[in-house]
Formats: sequence, structure tokens, C-alpha cells
Amino acid sequence: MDEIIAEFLLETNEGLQILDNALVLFERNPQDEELLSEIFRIFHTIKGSCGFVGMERLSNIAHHAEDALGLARDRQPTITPHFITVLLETVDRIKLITAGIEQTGEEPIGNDEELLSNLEGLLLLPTTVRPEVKSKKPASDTANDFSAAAKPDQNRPRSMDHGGDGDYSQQTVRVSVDVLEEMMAVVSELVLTRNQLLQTARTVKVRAFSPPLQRLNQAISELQENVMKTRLQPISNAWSKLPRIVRDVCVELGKKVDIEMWGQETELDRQVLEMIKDPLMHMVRNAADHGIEMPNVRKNAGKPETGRIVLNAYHQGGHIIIQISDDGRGLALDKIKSRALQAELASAEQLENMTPQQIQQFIFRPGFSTAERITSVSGRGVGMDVVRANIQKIGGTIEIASTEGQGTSFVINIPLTLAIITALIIEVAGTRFAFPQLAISELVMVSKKSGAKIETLNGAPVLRLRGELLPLVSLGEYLKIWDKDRVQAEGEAGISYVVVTKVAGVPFGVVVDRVLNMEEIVVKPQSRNLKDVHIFSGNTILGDGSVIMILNPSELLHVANIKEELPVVPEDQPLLESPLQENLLLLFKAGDKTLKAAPLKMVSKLREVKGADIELSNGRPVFQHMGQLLPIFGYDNAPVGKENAFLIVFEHDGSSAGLLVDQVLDIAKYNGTLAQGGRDKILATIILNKQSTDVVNPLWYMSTDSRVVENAS
Amino acid sequence: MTKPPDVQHVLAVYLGSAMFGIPITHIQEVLETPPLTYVPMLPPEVRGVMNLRGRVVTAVDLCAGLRQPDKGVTTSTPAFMSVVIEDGGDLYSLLVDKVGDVYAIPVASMGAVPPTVNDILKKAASGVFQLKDEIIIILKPDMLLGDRVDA
Repeated sequence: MDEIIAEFLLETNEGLQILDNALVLFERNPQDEELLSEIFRIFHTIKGSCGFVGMERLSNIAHHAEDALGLARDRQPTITPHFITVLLETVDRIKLITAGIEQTGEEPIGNDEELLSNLEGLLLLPTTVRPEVKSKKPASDTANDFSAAAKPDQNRPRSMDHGGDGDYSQQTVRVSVDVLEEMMAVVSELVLTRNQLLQTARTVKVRAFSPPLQRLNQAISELQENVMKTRLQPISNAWSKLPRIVRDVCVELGKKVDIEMWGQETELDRQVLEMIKDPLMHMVRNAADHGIEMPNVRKNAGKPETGRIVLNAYHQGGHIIIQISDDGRGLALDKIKSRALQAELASAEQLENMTPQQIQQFIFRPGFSTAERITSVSGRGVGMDVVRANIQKIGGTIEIASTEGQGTSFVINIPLTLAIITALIIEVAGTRFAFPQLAISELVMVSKKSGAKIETLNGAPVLRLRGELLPLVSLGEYLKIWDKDRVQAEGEAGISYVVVTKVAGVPFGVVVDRVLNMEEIVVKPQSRNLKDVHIFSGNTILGDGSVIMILNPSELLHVANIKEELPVVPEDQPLLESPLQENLLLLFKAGDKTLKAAPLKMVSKLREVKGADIELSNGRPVFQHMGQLLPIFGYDNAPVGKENAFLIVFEHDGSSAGLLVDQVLDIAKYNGTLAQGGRDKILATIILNKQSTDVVNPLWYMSTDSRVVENAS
Repeated sequence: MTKPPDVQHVLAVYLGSAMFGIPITHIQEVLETPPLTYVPMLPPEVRGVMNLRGRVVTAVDLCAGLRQPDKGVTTSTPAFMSVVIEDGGDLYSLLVDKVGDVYAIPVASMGAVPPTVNDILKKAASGVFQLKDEIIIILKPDMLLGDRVDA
């Protein structure tokens, strides 16, 4: 394409981006003359440069728009929504034409007569005096950095260096994105080579190398920082379209919505910016369309007629937080419930037991929409699942908080850049992996000796962490890189670590052998055949030159869910934060073959015991547990034998007791109510999975009654 | 379109005693294989990844990729060679036991692949050529990579 046309397109597009916003803003503040001048100037520039490159159609449209605006400026008629709508239509048309030019290099053929007559119609507003168009510089050419493209000098590309006018353009240079990408790639390589050099220098101490190496080190760090900076763009680039979208929704549906944007200058990597553009647009559109109520509804609810959508962006510890909140009707839990039932995503009982938070999560399911009607803007149910998928793709998270009647708020947490991330280097079976730091909430050391210990429930490993059961994924086992015998031998004495991770609000633990260090890693794209293995999101090269794989936490969650055979809540739900725990039963077998159960909330630990470890104190069997003597019982007064068995440790209000059982089976949910407390040994007998099941009363074992019975028998 | 060249230059590589030819137009470089990082969950012919001056290269065992009877050399030989090729923007390293000479092969006298070879080789080979006392099988390297191996 002709270089001049390319330049023209670039400038015009920049202008158009500003126009959308400026027009919407102008509708609100028709008195803002500076803004009007700005709008006028952009149309003028477009007109001017169109003529310069010979684009008749565009030039004609821009000319008419300029006329209409000139009228607005000189005669100040009442600015009606119609006025703005026509101008926005004009902007759209210009966009359409420039898109055509971009493809073919020539103006596409089309009929603009209706638009032009609409624009002419604007001139017939209250005053009909056709204003004199000031063709050169319009008023208020203050050093406005709104846009460099807004300068009405057609010859700008050629007159870069004749004084005065070129102040801004002299300080900025357009660089193609490809060049930037290439630069970033080279710098990444440079950083890696530097790391290798530094490592070598540490082992091979050659004095003469040391000072230049130091300087090199410093220079490269600076270079890296600066190149990173070139890739950063303010988030306002992604937001610029939003006011227009909100306005369109308002006009179509007759709503009143204000959009506020805070932290527009927050900068993030352009790659990340591209990825969140569409999700943001979708969410804002949703907020305007579904969130904010009609003015009369709002009035009746005691809210101001005009709804608010607030966007806020800020940096926080290497991440960007973006909040999108509205003061609309909030998520209707009942509607979500009935939709979930209808779509068979959950049963009625499950829904009954869910927290509002859990129910709200359904909106992230594919095809989930509660909109009663489908508008041209949204409601087709293609939405929040895609939004979340996109955000997760760049290693981000999205959380939702909504109060019915008061509004909804989304919080998006995304990394600053995709190119360089902070990761924890971990090791499993001698192989190192990088674990993105964003997903990690804490690290727990587990060993046979320390307090924290990996237990198994129905074959699935769990960790008891501050009173909650954390499902675990064993990385080595999943990746099949564990040499079973070796690990078991090592595991007996050895120490391993649990990386406590939170993905999509679900906490789970990843068991690894060793935790090495935190490192800033440069993410390298992986080759095609590695991409099929979703457990890895990329690879990187460490300082010592070795290649390691970057783990994908959301995929690990997936793995955890598969292993999770607890038939309680649908996937994606925080399993054990729910009040369901009240009704969770630990199933076990003891004595005869029938199923027994105990309320899980009173179970503090499960462990295997050797018969030899059981001691007698005051004639009754006890067991040393966490530095205390734990009274233990056989089921149904069965004698405490010398065989190895499982011990269920009950704990409640500071007292504890142990129950010896033959086998721990599973956790199950019971939907009925269970009597609490009581003095009987058996709380209730219930039907669970078509089997009659005795539910033991842990309190009985902890009470003095047990001693009495025990002694009597 | 220009007329296809009369001769094709191929680099001879060895898997045990079997000789294969890789067209040099595909080859980016040949080097002694650097240490590999094992990557779990991949098809068996992918031996891992390696660092080639800051680029991550996927190492594919040519022997396993071609489902050749294992001559017991490729992985146990410490200094096996890497023939680096580029495909679709990604770099791959074909691991071979030994690298030989470059031969200029007249395209006209290239023979068809004998029907007795295994299916993979049928897809991955473009022809055979009779050298003085050896037969060289000319490969289409891009057919060996990624998901196309089993296709």
C-alpha cells in the first residue's frame, strides 16, 4: 500500500477512536467548547487529509459533518440526542470506508446520500445560518495531547522539523509492532545469556572479567526495562470504545447510564490489552443492558434514575486489577437457580444447599443466560464463559460479587505482561517446573514428623489446613514421572511440599518434592506438538541455560476435580467452604459389614495406627496423638485389638476421642437433618445410597457417659 | 513457478546402520545434542526440549518417530547429533546417531519407496536412491513432526 495512504489511515483511525468518546462526552456537556473544538478539529483533519490523498467520498462526508459542527459551535443550538446519533453514524461510516481502504487501497463504492441529507438536516436546527467555516486552525490550540493526529496541518508528514508545530511529533516516533516484538525477543535472549554469564563468572573467578560484566549486567537490566516500557499502553486504549457502547445501549433501550472510568493511565502490556479488550466490552455491555434497570424501575426502587457503571484499574504487586461495577439490579439468584435447574446443571437439593456466591458462579457456564429477552446487544448466552476463558488464557482470574437489587461487581486480576512472569521453581522427581506465582496462595511443608500431613480419603489425597480439607494433586503421579518404589521409600522419611493454589475460587494443593526459588522467567512460546499437552502453558530458559516447562494451574484444577470423587457439589465450587459441611458424613466400616458414618465436621484427623502403639492408661486404651493422650474406643465396645487399624479422631470444644475402625470409605452428603448432640451413642440411622447407615455420635465418645459404659462392660 | 531443480541435496544421517537423507533446504543447522529437558506426557518419540541459543527446540527421536526397529543406539549413545529443522515457525531437532555426507541426488533417478516399509515411512519418505553401495531413503521432514506422526 502507498505509504501516504498508510499514514493517512493510521491518523484517521486515531482520530476516529477519540471521536467516539468525545461525542458521547459532548452530549453530556454541550457547553464544553474545548471538546467541541476538538471534535471539529478531528473532522477537519480527516477532511483535509482525505482531500490530500484523493478520497472523495470520505472528504465529502467529513465536510458535511464539519458543517454541522460548525453550526453547533457558532450558533449553539440545543444538542439533541439525534444530533449526536447522526454524528456517530457519520463516524461509523468513515470507519467502514477506511476499513475498505485498508483492504484494497481504494475507497469502496457506496451510497452516502441518506447520511449526507441527515447531516444537512442538522443544519436546519433552530438557526439555519450556515456558518463560515474557519478553515485553518480552530480556536484553542493549546498544547493538547489528546491526539497528535488532531493537528490540522495536512503537510505534517513532510514538515516534521519546521518549528513550533512539530513539538509533539518530534518526541514520538511510530514503530511497527513487529519491530517491538522482535526487540523484546532479542532482549529476552540477552537477559538469558547475561544470566548464564553471571553464573559462569560465579564459578570461574576471573578478575579481569568482573567489572565489564557488572556494567553489562546493569546495561542489560536497563535495556530490558525500557523495552518493556515500549510495549506498555494505557488501559484507556481498551476503554475508549466503552462510552459509545453504553450510549448505544441507552438509546436503544431508553435507559440512563453514566460510565465512570478511573485509573485510565494504568499501563499494561499491549498483548494483554488486546486479550482483555473484548471481555471488557462484553461485560460493560452486559452491565448496561442487564444490570442497569429502566429509569422508572430505578425510581421506584429509590435509586437515582441514572445508573452508574464504574470502571477502575490499578496496579497491585505486579498485577493489574480491573474492577467493573454497576449499581443495577444485581444477579437474580432465583432466575439463575431456575435456569440451572432447567439446564440440568444442578439438582434442586444441590441448589438449596448452595451459597449465593456459588449460585452466581453459574453465569460462567457456557450458554447460560437469564435474560428474558434477546436484545440486539446481548442476551444470547454467549458470554461470561468466554470472558472467563479469555482471562484465564492470559493467566488472570475473575471474581464476582453481587447483591440483588444493589448491583454487581467484577474484579479481574491479570498479569502486567505475558512475556515475563514471576514463577516459583519447583522440583518433582528430579525435574524442575515453573509454577506461576499469581496462582499460589501459600506453601506448606509436609512430613511424617511435622504437624501437616497428607492423608487419604477414599484413595484421594487431602491435606487438613486450618480446619479445612484441601484436595491435593500429586504432580509426580499425574505426570507419571514418579518412580513409585523410590518415592515411597523417600516419602516415608522425607519431606514434601504442598503448593496451595487457588484457581477460579477453588483452593487445592499441588504436591511437589522440592521448592527451589522464585524467579522472573521469560515465557517462550512452545512448539505445536507441546501445545496439545494443556498441563503446560509454555516453557522458559533458566539462568543455567536449561529449559523448563511452565505449569498451567487451571489445568491442574481440572485434574484435581477428576480425582475428586466426593459427590457433593458441581465442579468449580469451593468444595469445603460451603455450609454443606454440616451435612457431610465420613463413611467407614467397623465391626460387621454394614455402613457406618460420622459427622465430618467433628472429625479432626484420620490416621493409621499400629496395634503396638496403643497403650493402656488407667486400664483404658489410649494413643499418643499430637503430644496428648487420646482415649480410644473400639466400635460398639469391640475390644481394642493389637491389629493395625484406622483411627478417626473426633474433636469438639477442646475435648477429643479416637474411634478405631476397619476401613475408611468415603465422604457422602446427607440431605436430611441430623439431630445434634444427645446422649446416645448413635445419633440416627439413616438411608444412604439405599443402605441403612448408623451415624455415630462423636459427643458420646468425648463425654463421660462413654467412660461409664466402658467401665461397666 | 520455476522448474523443479534437477538435483536434490540431502544430508545423510544414520540410525544404526540404516541411512536416511534429509533435504538440506530444510536444515537450519547440525550440532551435537545439548542436554535435554524431559517433558512428561508427550508421545514417546519426543525426547524433550533443549535450549538453542535462547530458543526452545523440541527434540524428536528420528528412530522412534520412524518406528524403526530400535538399533539400540540413539538414546544410549552419549554424543548423538541434532539436525535442527524449522516447521511452521517452530524449531525441531531430529535426533540421529550419526551425520554423514551431503549427496547431490538427481531427482529423475530417484526411485519409489518400496511397499515393504512400514506405514509411517511410506508417508514420510519421498523416495529412495541407490548410492554406490548403500541405499538412502529421502525423508520429508515435516511429515515426521507433531501430530502428523501418527496421522
